[in-house]
Amino acid sequence: MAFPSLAGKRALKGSALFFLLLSPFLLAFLSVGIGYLRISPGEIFSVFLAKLTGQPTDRSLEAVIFQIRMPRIVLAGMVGAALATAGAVLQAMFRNPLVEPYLLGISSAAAFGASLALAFAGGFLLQPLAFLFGLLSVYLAYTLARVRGEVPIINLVLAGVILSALFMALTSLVKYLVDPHVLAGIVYWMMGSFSGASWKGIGQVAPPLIFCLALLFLMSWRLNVLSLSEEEARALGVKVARERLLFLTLATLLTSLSVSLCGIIGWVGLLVPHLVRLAFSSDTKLLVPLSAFLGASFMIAADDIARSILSFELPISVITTVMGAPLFIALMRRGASRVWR
Amino acid sequence: MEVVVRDLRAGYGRRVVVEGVSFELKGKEVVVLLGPNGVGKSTLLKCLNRILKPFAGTVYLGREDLQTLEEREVAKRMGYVPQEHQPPFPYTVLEFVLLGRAPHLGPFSSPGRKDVEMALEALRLVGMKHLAERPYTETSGGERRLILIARALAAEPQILLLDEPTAHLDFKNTHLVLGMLRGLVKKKGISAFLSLHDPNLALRYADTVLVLNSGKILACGAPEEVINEETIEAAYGMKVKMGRFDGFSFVFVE
Repeated sequence: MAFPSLAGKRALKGSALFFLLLSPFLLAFLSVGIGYLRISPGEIFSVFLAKLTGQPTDRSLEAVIFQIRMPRIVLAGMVGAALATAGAVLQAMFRNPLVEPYLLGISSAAAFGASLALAFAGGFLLQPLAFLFGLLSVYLAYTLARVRGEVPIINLVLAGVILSALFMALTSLVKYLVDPHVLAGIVYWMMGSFSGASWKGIGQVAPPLIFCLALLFLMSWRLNVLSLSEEEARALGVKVARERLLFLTLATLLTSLSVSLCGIIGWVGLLVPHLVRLAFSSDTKLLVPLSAFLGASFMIAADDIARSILSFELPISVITTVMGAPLFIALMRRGASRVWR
Repeated sequence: MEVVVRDLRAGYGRRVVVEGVSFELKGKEVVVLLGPNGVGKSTLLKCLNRILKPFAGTVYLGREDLQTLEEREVAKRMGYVPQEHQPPFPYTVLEFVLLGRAPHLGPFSSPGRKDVEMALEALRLVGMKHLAERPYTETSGGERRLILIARALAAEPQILLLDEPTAHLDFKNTHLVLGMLRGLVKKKGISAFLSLHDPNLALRYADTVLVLNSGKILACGAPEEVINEETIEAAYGMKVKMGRFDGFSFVFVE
């Protein structure tokens, strides 16, 4: 039996693919103009051109574009790509489409690290502490889940649930003990923001982030095999424990780096891989890189809304959730059964 | 390729399921494993391709000791068709069969045109090529069993291991799958090693039958020799009678 609509479907998918790959760059360009000071695409273009050819430009416009907005947009794009990729990897690895990058307690552990820094060190070492506690949580989850040299998925999930709860309780304790001023800082950090973006910060995290992403892109087909049962994967010649650990480490690094940079931003890592699966493919060879591109676009757009919808900035996590929930409901109502089983 | 198993002891945790199992198979044949539920059929199958590490004993494949081979090398030689299976994501049938090429691909590579052609050829061999673009999750039970066989075939193994390939299949699909399997074994000169529950299916499709009881080999040989009233009663603890019709032997319960 032939599928008459297949050629048409493929052409449609092809153009959607092209648009998806282009979208982060297009959105980034347009986003430069969005904010308290509106800048038209023509003006952005002329400033870029002047900068390239070395001609003098409007100083304040240049500062807004290059020192304030661009680092922020680049950071949002990177974090969006990192979280969506980590989500895609963990969903495949845990064989569950409802998994998000924070599954193994990264978010609550990082929040605990950040709250320690804010409470006892005036915010000093906030990013390293958030990062290290994120890693610590996954390390603990992995160690706790290990029995007789094997790491069953169910044990990992349970260990993640336990550690999440534990770190959340510890964070609550810190919140309870500190004065209201510090408490506000902790709460604000936990809702996520890109307002701290700078080229220097980007320079520090971009290399490890890009390294992890590149490695995951290279190994993305292999992830399909890991999404089978452990027994099947082993029968296909895969060293399951070793490869799982590698994927888990890379996804954890991506998530922890993101969290340490901009706090906890929910929904991106859960939702984006779903959209890609529904629109394109479950084949992780496509799913992983496409999630990165869509994640970048999604986050840039969400940040545009966060900083432009009101005269003051809204927490990014509120925007991603308010954008994500209706999308997820729409997914659930139509065709979700195809993606979920 | 011949398979020689010597003094195999295997199980889970501390529980020993299979003990003192030794047998030799000459290859290029359909070998059926019979025995009651929980007797160790799946355990034995999983030891053959080492997805379960036996406590003791050796498995030789031709002249090679399986223990000395890398996981990937074992997977190239032995294709495994699991019993229960529910993929969490709607891969297309072709994407799914391509996973069978994994033993031939390193962690950093992905399948190329040659791999796609081999996957399509494997699908053609089991008569499922027309479903290549269909989501695997939307195929029927019988189709799924054949697609799983195609996935195992895509690695070009010398031996197929199948854990109850007819479980949950209806009457027609049972015979379709086993007929297809027997045809493949004869056409490609490979071996199939499968567990079944119905002695009549073994009589119809096997070249060699192994009867397992309480973790040990009870009988091994040609189906007509092995399957008789005494062996079946010893294995399953129930009285049966043998009959003959049109040149076929069969087992029935009075």
